[in-house]
Amino acid sequence: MGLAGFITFENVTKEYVMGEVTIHAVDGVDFTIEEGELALIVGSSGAGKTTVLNILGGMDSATSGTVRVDGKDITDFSNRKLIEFRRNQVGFVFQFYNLIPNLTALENVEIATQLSVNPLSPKDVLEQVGLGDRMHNFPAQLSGGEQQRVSIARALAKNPRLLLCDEPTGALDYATGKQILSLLQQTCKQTGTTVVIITHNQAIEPIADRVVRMRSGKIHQVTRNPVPTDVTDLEW
Amino acid sequence: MTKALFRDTMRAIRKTMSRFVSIVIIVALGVGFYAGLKAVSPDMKAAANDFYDDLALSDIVLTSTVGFDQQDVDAVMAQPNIRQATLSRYVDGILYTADGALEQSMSGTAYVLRVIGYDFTQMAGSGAERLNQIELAEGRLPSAPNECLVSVYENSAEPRRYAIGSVVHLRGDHEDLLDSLQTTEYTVVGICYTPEFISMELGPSQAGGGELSGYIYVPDTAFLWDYYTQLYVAVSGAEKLAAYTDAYDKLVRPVKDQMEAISKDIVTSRALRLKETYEPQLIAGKAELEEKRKEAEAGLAKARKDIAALKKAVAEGPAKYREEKAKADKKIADAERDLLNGTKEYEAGYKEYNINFAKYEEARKLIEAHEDDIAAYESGKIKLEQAKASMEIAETAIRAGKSALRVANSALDSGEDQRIKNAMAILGTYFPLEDTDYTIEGLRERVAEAQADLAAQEEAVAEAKAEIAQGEKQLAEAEVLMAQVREFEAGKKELDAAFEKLEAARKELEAAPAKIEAGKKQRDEELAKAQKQLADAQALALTADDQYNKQKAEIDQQIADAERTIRRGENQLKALPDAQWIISDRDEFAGYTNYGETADNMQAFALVFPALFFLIAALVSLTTMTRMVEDERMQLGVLKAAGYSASAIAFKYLFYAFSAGFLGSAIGITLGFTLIPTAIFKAYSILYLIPGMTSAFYPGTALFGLSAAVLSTVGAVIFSVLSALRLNPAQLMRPKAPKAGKRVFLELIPPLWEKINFSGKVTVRNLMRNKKRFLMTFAGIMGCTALLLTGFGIGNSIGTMLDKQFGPQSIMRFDGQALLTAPIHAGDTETMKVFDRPGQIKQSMPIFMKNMYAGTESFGRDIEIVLAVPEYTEIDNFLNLEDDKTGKKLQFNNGGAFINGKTAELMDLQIGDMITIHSGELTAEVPVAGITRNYVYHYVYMTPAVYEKYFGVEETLFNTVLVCLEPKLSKTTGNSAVITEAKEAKAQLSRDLTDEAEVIAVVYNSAIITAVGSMIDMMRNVIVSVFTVAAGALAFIVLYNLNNINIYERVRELATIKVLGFYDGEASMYIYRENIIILILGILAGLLLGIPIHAFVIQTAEIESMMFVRTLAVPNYIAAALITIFFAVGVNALMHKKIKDISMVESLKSVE
Repeated sequence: MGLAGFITFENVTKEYVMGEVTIHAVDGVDFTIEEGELALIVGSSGAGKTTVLNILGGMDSATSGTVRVDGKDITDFSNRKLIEFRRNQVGFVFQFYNLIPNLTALENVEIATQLSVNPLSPKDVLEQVGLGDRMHNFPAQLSGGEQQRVSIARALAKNPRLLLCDEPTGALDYATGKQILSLLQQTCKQTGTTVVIITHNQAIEPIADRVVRMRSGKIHQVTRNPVPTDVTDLEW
Repeated sequence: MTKALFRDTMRAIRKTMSRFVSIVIIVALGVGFYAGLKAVSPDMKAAANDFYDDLALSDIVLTSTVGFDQQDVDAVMAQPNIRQATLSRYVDGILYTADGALEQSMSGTAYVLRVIGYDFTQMAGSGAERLNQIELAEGRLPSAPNECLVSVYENSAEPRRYAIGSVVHLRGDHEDLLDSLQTTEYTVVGICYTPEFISMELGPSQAGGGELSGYIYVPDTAFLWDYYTQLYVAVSGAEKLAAYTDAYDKLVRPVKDQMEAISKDIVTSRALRLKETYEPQLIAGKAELEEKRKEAEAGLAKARKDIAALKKAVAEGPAKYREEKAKADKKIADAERDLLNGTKEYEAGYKEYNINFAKYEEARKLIEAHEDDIAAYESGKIKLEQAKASMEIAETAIRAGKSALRVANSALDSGEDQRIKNAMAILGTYFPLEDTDYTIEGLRERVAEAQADLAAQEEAVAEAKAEIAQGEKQLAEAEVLMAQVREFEAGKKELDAAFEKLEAARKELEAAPAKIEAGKKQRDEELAKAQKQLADAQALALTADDQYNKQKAEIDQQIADAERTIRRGENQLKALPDAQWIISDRDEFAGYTNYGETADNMQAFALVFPALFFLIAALVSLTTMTRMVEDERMQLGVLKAAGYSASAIAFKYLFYAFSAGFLGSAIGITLGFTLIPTAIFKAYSILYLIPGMTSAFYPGTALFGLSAAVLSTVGAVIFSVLSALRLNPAQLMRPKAPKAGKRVFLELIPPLWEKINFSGKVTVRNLMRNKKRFLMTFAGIMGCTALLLTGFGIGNSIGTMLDKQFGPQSIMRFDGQALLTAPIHAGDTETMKVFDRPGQIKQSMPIFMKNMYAGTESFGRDIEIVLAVPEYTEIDNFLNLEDDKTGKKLQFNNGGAFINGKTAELMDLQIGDMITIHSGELTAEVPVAGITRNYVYHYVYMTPAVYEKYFGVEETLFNTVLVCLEPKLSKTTGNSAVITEAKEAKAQLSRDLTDEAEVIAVVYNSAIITAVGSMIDMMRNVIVSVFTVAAGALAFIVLYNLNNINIYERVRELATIKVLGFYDGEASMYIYRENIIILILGILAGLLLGIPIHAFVIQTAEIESMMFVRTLAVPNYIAAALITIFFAVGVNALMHKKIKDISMVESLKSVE
C-alpha cells in the first residue's frame, strides 16, 4: 500500500452547529492506517474518537478534509455509494452489541450476510467465535460476551476488509472483554482484516499495531507498535 | 399535582403533539360519529314535530264517501277529546302541458295532481288557524280563484316543473273538472310547505294511474261544491305530545277507535240529509232529461224535414230554372217586337206630319201675303172702337146741350132772373162761355151760340156715323181673313205637338236597344245566381246527412252523458246506505311513518360506526400511553425515588389521557351534534319536505360518548401505568429488558419454516414480537376495509336496484306501458292492432294493473302493492319471475298469487300462506304460489284465472299494454348519437300511440330510471363519501400513529441495519414487509367483516317499499381493498421519509 496507507485521514474536521455555538468535534485530523493492521483510536470521552469512527464508517460526513479508504475518497461518495461501501467493505461492532432481539444468534448473523456479495458461512463464523452450540439462542438468552461475539460474528460474516469496533468491551467485564479483544486480534491476524477499535482504555494499547491518541478533537500522538503484545499475555 | 408535574405534563403533551393529536382525533371521530348518528333520529323527529306543531298537523283525517258539511263538524266536535276539526276538500286532476300533452309522473304514469281548496284567511297568525296549515316558502298567497301554490318538492324537482309565474293546466279524469272547479288553469304565485305531505310519496288517488304525483293549493272559493271531502281532526292534548312517541300513539289510538264508533251514526244522518236534498233533484233531473230528449228529438225531426225540403228543392231546381229562363227570354223578345212596331208607327206619323207641314206652309204663305191687312185690321178695329166711343160721347153731349138749351129757352121765356142765372150756369157746363153776362141778353146770345154749336156738333156726329159704318163694313171683310189666320195658328200648334210627339217617340226608339241589352244582362245574372243557388243547395243536400248524423251523435252523447250523471247520482243515492268514513291516523299519512323509520334507521349506523371507532381509540390510546410510560420509565423511577406517590406520578399520564379524551370528546360532540344530523337531514331533504332542522344537544348521549372515550383512554393509561408503578425505583431506573425473542409457532413446523426465506422469517418474528401493535394495526385496516366495503356495498345495493329492476335482462323486461282509454277483453285483437308496429314494437301484451293494498291478519296493517294480471302465462319476455331466494326461474301458473320477496318478508309469508289483497270493493284472500325477486315497490302477479276465481270477478279486463321495443328504440348504451336516436324514436312512438284513440299515455321504463336514478345516485354518493371519509380517517390515524410508534420504538434497530448496509429502500421494506402482511390480513378480515356489517346496515336502512340489492358486487370488494391499500401506501410513504431520516448515530447510543 506504500505511503498512502489503507485508511488515510487528511485534515478532517467535523463541526456541529448548536445554535450560535460551533463545536469542533474533530479538528484537522491527519493519520494513516495500513491494511491488515489492528489500530486503536484512544481518547477520553469527548475526544472525538467516535466521530472519527462515524466518518470512517460512512455513518457521518466530514465537514472538510479527505478520508480515503483503499485509495477511494469516501467523503466524495454519494449516499448510495456510502451504503455500498458499508455493505461490502465494513463490519461494525457496537458497544451495546445492537443485536436484533427477536432473531436468534444465527439469524442475527444472517441478516448481515444476506447483504454481502461474498459472505462467509454464518454457522462457520459462529463456530469460529465459539458459539457453535448457541447459534439458535435469542440474544436475551445469551450473556453480554456471547452477545458481543454474535455481534462480531455478524460483522465478520460479511467478510469485510475493514472491521470497526466502537468500545467493544465497554459493557463487558474484564475477562469477557479480554476474550473479545483476543477474538478481534486473532481475526486481524488470521484473516488480514484491518481492524479499528475505539476505546478509552489506554491499558490495552500494547495489543495494537498502531495507536492513534486523540485529545479534544485533535490527534495527540500516533504510535506504531512493531511487535504487538498478544491479548492473552496482557494484564491490565 | 404539583406545579412541576403539571408543567411536565404540559411539556409531555407538547413534545408528543402528534401522538396527542392522534388520540384527540380518533376520539373525536368515535364520539363525533356516535353523538352525531345518535342525534340524527331525535333531531329529525324534532324537526318534523316542530313542523307539525307549527302548522297544526291533524291527528286524524276523516274521509267520507259522501262528503262532509258543517253538521258533521258539529257532530264530531260534540265528542269528548276533540280539540279542533277543520273541513277541507280536494279534487284530483290530470296534469297537462301548456300545449295539451300529458305530463308524466316520476313513475311514468299520468301525473295526478291534487287540487286542494284552502281558505287563505286562515293562515297562521290570523286568529282563525285551521288544521293542516301551509307555510309559504316563496312568493305570495293566492288572491284570485285561478291562482295556486305549489309544493316545495314540485318546485325543486329537476326539471323545475313549476316556477312562480308558470301556469298549471289540468283536466279531469273521466269527468269534467269544471263541474267541480271554476277553472282548470292556475297560475303559480307561491311555493309552500305542508305537514300533510312531507314525502315524495303522496299516497293513492282515484284518478290516473292510482297514485298521487303532486298537489296544489287553490283558494277554497275555486270550488263549486257545497260539501267537503275531508275532515281534519285534532285530539285534545295531542298537541302537547311529540310525534313518533308511544305517548302520542297511546293518546290518539283510542280517539281513532272512538271516531270509528261514532262514524256510522254521523254518516247515516248525513246520508239521510243528502237523500232528502238530492232525491227530488234527481227526479227533477230525470224529468228534465226526458224533456231534453223530446226537445232534441223534435229538433232532429225538424232537421230531417228541412233536409227533405232541401232535397226536394234540389230535385226540382233544374226545371224551375228552365222555366224562369224561358220567362226572361220571352220578356226580351216582347221588348224587341215592341221596338219594331214603334219604329213603324213612327215612320207613318212622320209621313202625316210632313203632309200637314206642307199644308201649313201654304197657309203661312197666304197669311204672309195679307200681313198688312191683318195689321190694319187690328188698328182699324181699335180706331173704329174709338170712333164709336167719341161718337157716343158726342151724342150724349148733344143730348145734354139740347136739354140745357131747353132749360135756357124756358128761362128766356120766363125771363126770371134766377132761372136765367141757373140756366146760364147749366149752359156754362156744356158750353164754354166767355164773359158771361148773367143777363137775358147774355143768355140769348149764349143760347144762340149754343144752338149754332149744337148744330155743328150734330153734323159732325152724322159724319162720324157714316165713317163708322164704312169702317164696320171694312172690318167685316177683315174678319174673314182673321178667321183664316186663327185657323192657321191652331194648325201650327197641332203640328208642333205632333212633332214633339214624334221626337219623343224617336228618342224612345233610340233608347230601346240599350234597354234590351240591359235586360239581357240582368237576365243572365239572375240566371247565374239561380244556378249557383241550385249548386249550393245540391252541395248542402250532399253533406246534410252527415251533418245531421254528427249532430245526432252529439246529442246522443250529451244525452248519454246526462244519463250517466243521473245513473251516477242514482248509484250514489243507492250507495248512501253504505256510506262510510275512512279514518286515518298519522301512521297512514303519506310519508309520516317512513320519515320516522328513516330517522330510526340512522340509529343502526350509530352503533356500527362508533363501536369500531371506540375500540380503535382505546387501542390507539393504549399503545400511545404504553409507549409514553416506557419512554419515561427512568423518570418514573426518579420520581418514585424522590418520594412522589404512585397516584401523583400516574396523574400525569391520567391527565394526559384524560385531556386527550376530553378534548377529543368535546370536539366530537360539538361537530357530531351539528354536522352529522345536518348532513343527513340535508341528504334526506330530497325525499322529505321538512323545512328546517336545528341541531340539539343531548346530554345523555354526550355524557355517554364522553365517558366511553375518557374511559377508554384513561383505562388504557391505568393499564399501562399501573404495571410500571408496581416496580420499585431501582427496577424502573434500569432499562427494561428487551423483550426476549421467541420462537413463533411456524417454527414448530420445520418444513414450512425452512421454506420461508430469511427476510420472511424476520418479518414473521417481528410481527409476533409485538402482538398488541400487530392486532391494532390489523384492526385499523380491517375496520377501514369493512367500512369501505359497507359504503361501496350500500352504493351497490341502492345504485344497482333500478338496473336490476328495469334494466335489460332484469325483472321488468318490457320497455314501456301504454295506458288504454278503455279496458279491453282478453283476445281483443282489434285494439291490439294499434300495437302492431313492426320496426318499433317487438312484442306487446295486455295486462291489468291496479294499485291495491295487501296485508295479513298477523301483520296487522296494509301495504300498498301493484296487482298485475297479465293476459298470458308466457310472460318471460315481459316479466322475469325468479325465486327471491334461489334466483331460479319460477313457472307462472294458476296456483295463486306470486308476491314479491319484500312483501313476503314483511308479512312473514311462505308459499301456501294466504294474503289478503283489496281495494275498495275488490277484496280477496289468495294463497301465495311463488315469491319473486323484486327491488322497487311491491308487485303481486296472478293469472286472469286466479284473479277471477279469488276476487269473484266475471272477466278480467286489461287496462294496460306492456310493450317490448325493437333494439334500436330500446338502446340505452352506446355512443350518444345512438342513444339520442333511440330516445327520439321512442318519443315518436309515444306520440304515434297517444294519437290513437285507444291509448291515453305511454310510459317508458327508461324515464323512470332517469327520474329516480339521479336521486338514487345522489343518495349513493352521500353514503359512499361518508363511509370513505370515515374509513380514510380511521385508516390514516391508526396506521400513522402505530407506524410512528413502531418506528420510534425500533429506531435503534433500524439505525443498526442501516449501519449494516441496508439501502434506504431495504430499510423501509424491513418495516413494510410487516405492514404489507398486516395490510393483506387486515383487508381480508375487513372484507369478511364488511359482509355482515353491510347486511346489517342495508337491512336496517331499507325502507318498506323497497328491497335493496342485499349482495355485494365483486367491484365493491376490489374498490374497498384498493382504497385501503391506497391509504396504507400513503401512510407508508410518509414513513419512508421518517425511516430514511433516521440517523445511524442512533445505533451507537446506549440503551436507555
